Amino acid sequence: MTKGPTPLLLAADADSIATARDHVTGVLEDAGCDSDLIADVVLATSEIVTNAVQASGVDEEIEVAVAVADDAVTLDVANATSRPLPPSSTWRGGDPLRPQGRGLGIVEHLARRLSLDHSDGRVTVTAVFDAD
Amino acid sequence: MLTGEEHRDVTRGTHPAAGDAAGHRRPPGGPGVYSSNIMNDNSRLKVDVAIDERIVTIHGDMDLRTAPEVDRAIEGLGGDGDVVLDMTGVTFMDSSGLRTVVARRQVLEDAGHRLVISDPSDPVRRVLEITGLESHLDISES
Repeated sequence: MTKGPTPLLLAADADSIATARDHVTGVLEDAGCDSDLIADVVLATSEIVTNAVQASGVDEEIEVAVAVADDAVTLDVANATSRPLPPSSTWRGGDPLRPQGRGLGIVEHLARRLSLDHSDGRVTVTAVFDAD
Repeated sequence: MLTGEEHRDVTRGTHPAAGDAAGHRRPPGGPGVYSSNIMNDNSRLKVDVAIDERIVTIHGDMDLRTAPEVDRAIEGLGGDGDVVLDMTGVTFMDSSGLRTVVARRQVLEDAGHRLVISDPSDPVRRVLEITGLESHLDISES
């Protein structure tokens, strides 16, 4: 796998969501990815970083890393949290008009693979996208 | 990332400086129209509200940071009639933006009115498709 650029460190506030989108857009454009793929990864970035912002304390940082290989784009978002993410059974389905709870379902729809790793008080969400 | 440089500007058409008595062409923000912006190093959103026509026009990105601006604009029109949400100029929307649309639609529907999404841009359409909301919302194409 091609190594991506240095991970981006962001404050856990709502303005960081746009910063994360801009960062991912820049990396994927530089790598020559097509616009549909970029739109998908950017939407997923926004959803995952939004969850991270909402789960993090004000003094905590969120780490966003994106790596491009020949056949895949891998997005990792890590943050310190004591609050578990909702179980995967709730990510999709349900009433389309429900007030909230769509974010991870959108990512799951867009990504080839979506995984969550909880360890040492940190959660890392990894989403892998088909690049070919 | 707190930049401290955020520019949040609300221009109301009732401000004495807007328009003039000689009937000259009104500057943006003339009577019956107001705009609000979130423009900083990161987030970008502009909302134009035509009060009499009950049209809210969104330009820019709708996310957790900016969607409350749209929420306030729709809320400010009150619940006395339908509201048109012009989404032609939405350059990005995620589930936080969608949440505002769905919540405001529900408030209007409870009052017997509609929230009509006018000319959604491709990024809006994509999120509506993925979430299965396309067939549950009032969407109009001009």
